[in-house]
Amino acid sequence: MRLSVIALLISSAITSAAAAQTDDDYAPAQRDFASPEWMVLELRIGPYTPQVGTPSFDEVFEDDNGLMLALELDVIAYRLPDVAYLAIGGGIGHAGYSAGAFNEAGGRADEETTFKLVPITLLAVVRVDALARMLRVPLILTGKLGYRWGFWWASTGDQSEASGNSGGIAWGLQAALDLDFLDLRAARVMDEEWGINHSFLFFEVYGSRTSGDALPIGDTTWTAGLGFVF
Amino acid sequence: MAQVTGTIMVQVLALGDRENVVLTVPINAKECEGNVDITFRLTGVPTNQPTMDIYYGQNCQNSVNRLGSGSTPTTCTFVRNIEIRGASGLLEFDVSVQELDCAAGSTADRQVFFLPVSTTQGGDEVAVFGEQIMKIDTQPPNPPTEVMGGVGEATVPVTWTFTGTDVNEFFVYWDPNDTDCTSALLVPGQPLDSTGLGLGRVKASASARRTSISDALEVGQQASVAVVAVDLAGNESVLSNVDCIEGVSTTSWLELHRAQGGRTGDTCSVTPWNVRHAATPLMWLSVIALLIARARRRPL
Repeated sequence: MRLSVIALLISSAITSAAAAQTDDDYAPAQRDFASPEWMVLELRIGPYTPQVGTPSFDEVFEDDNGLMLALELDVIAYRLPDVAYLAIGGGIGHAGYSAGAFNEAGGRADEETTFKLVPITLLAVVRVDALARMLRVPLILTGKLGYRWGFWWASTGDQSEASGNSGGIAWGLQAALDLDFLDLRAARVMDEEWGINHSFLFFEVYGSRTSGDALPIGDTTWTAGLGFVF
Repeated sequence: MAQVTGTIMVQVLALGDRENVVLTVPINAKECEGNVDITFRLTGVPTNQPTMDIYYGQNCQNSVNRLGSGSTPTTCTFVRNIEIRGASGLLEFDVSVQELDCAAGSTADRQVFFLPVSTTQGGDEVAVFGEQIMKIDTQPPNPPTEVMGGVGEATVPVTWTFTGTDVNEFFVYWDPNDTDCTSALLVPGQPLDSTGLGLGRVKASASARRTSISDALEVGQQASVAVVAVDLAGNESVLSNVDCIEGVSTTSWLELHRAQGGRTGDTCSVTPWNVRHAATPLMWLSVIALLIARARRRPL
């Protein structure tokens, strides 16, 4: 039942968004049930290519965009009812890059050179859902600002070559589609069964810059995913 | 995996009159995994005992005096009943280790017990001698094929193919004293006794079809490489085809980045060694938070 509810939410978000927005019955009645809201969880996936400051990364890893997989957990510090959340968030991700090392002739050797990246982020988050809660427009806008530590490992073959960490300012701007409006009944079931108040699909543009002499690993890129307020 | 009669283990046992403790035979984990058959040959079995029961279990010696207690062994598992053949007192039969519940997952030692079902004999005790004849795997697996050596500086990859299931692990051999890929120590299709040859060796799992040899070669050095398959019983295949690995100078991404003047410093002087595992506590924090939220939901 719970899986089917989640599946319904996801599938209906993809297939019914446009129809829902034009439906006269689009605006549901205010929910008469709500469990406490404590946190927001985001499951994130998107491309990531660190801008290391030299052409080397593109020359070696070419079109490898890493596919950054990440999750973010925001602890809601203050809730302005039906308007906004103020939260402190923490996130962690992982991306890996691999390619054949260059031989002396400039071709590729069988030996692989790899680069792994684990960014850890601490963020202040403002999540505005007034449009969704008050105006029945299923749009949630979020701004994030914080600090990101990127821990990295470089290796050749099976041998570690170097590792380190790079820190710098991080930011993000997110637009999310509130899924509650697509199936209010399912949303209520999720709240009653799991304590999940809201769920949303999001698209986020985010970036970071590395400060000092550290290996630059920042990028301005995008990510998408699924989020839950619970 | 061929099963060929190999090692013979002899045990002497005593079958006393009205004493039904007969024989214990340890079946170890290796035999369970190898799916071997075991032949038991009992001589001197009293012919007036028409049948015997086979049990397996552990530490059930005190419960197998069935005649005395009038009940079946409580801590042993019944396998099957066999008939005593002829009047010679010779009894020979096979027991598959699978009958001993090897498939149940436990790889602990098993013991097999033989108990006469009934006896009318009285008077003197008789002696019974038992032989455990292991049918063990003595046939080596087929050798790997299509072995291909690569080139590299820090590590050199080696790949191969293997068909069949009779393998427990692979060993990749190379000759570190070879300079032009003409080692006489590695001969395709021949068994290898690597003892004292000074060969380099890397072990790979049964599912692996690729491994890497690290710090093996100087730049410009070429060396012969071959692979053997080893089955569960420890039989080694003959050598696969022989190919070459070559040490070459390579440039990694980081070396190229540094050569181009890129920065590689740290923001913090200390790198948490376990940062890779930071996702685990965060995941559990999420689960706990979800459960707390669920526990605090309002009643319908």
